Amino acid sequence: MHIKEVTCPRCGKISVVDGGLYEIGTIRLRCTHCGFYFEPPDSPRSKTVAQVTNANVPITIWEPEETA
Amino acid sequence: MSPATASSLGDWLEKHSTATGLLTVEDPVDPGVYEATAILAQLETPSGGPPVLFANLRNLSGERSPARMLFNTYSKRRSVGLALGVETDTWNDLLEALPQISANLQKPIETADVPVQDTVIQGDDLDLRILPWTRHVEMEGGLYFTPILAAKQPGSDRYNLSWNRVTYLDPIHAGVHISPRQLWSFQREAEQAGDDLPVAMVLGHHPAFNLAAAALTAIQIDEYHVAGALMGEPLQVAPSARFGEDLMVPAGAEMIIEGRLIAAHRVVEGPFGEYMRYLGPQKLSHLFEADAITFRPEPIILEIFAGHRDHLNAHVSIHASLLAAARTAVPQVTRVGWFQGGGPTTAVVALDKSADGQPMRAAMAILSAGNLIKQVIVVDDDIDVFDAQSVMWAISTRVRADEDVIMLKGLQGSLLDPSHPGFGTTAGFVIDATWRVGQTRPPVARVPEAAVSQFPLDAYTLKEA
Repeated sequence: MHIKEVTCPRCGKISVVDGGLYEIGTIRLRCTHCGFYFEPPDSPRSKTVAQVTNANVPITIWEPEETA
Repeated sequence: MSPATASSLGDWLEKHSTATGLLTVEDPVDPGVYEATAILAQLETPSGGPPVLFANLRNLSGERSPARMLFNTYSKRRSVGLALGVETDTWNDLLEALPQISANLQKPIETADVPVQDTVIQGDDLDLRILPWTRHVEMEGGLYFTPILAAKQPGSDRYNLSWNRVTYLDPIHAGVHISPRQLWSFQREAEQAGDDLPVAMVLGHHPAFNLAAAALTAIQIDEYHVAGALMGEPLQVAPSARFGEDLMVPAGAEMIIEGRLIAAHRVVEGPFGEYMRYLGPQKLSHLFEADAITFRPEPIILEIFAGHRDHLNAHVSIHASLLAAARTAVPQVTRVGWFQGGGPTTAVVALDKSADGQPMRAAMAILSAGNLIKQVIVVDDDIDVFDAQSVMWAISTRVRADEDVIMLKGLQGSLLDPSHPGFGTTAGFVIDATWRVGQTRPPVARVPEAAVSQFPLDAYTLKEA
């Protein structure tokens, strides 16, 4: 998987994410360091969840309740 | 070769504690803050580290976990051999032995003696925080285990075993990375029908059980049968606590989390230290919901030291499968090397070539055996496939790039390969570094052996400068 580095808007630290996940843009990433969930602000939003997951049913993104 | 004799993980450890050099840490250890892997890192040598049993572990609730945890089961080649009942320090001996052992498939036996269900936690009491979830390497995206997932193909009685990374999400949920192979196909089948897929996360069993999960097995082969082959006797199974006979589980396991891969849901998961020796990135992975935790008294979780020798050596079953595939296509294949230290997508094949075209045929067999390998180097059998210097010598002196380097486009790749764009295609190559049949080979520059015998070193006085 291609790697993309993203900077957490809360703690300023870098996490490494799948380039495809980053390119969806509407899914919140999780900061590896502080656990903050955020949408990557500079994502090109050029990919769909279906493309990235290769699933053939509509996919819901699940997050734990205690997300920041 | 005689396969291992099945027993519990604890029995195996006790039997082989001296031969494996087992170390036990009695001090309290919090694996969630890298404490366990920090100790392992200091014990790691180029040839691996000793198995280490952490006997007093803190869980996510800050209390002492009911489970102990074992790392480095596969870190030393000798330990891998002892897992399979093969006494050797030589990797190639294991590769040669494994196909014979794997061929003796054994049908599981249902038993009423189910140590792994000595304690069963379900309902409101269920809480994954009782477990000693672990951080392995820097920048890992959460707390992890590396269990074996046992699942039954929808609409059949065939079981698959799959080795996965699993991260803690909340008291009943976990995220699971699944590569697009058999478990992925099972889940996809269930998902298309709108169903969750029941799975048993096996957190510890005899070390041969885990190696069965790493084998490249044909889709029609039940991997509970393969586990029996590697363990040396039929796998004992019992109905699961949650799903009954719809999901039979290994009765002799140490601990099992029963649950379901939830259809039509994904979760952000990762990064995790992978066998590529990089972090596999944060990605969209499958969502697991737990229904029960079952375990034997004083269970031992068999955990992998991710991204290190323990992790790489655990691929021995895949490596042996590559050798078997190449040899099936071209019987002249003598050895297959799979670099452990930086070449997880590259294999080296040696053969006693008798016809041009055999190198390409052997390479294609390896490329077709799974989605892990994208690059194959083929050498003559005077080259040591386990020695990168030797392989590079062959490439340097026996290859004409315009004829002997074949580029391959449109291959399915591994999701963990950082050069590969996810579910798109990747590319590979075959390098044929063999002499052509009938080609006159230049003599290798060396002193005659007879002369070395005739003029032994100890007959001379060697003065130091």
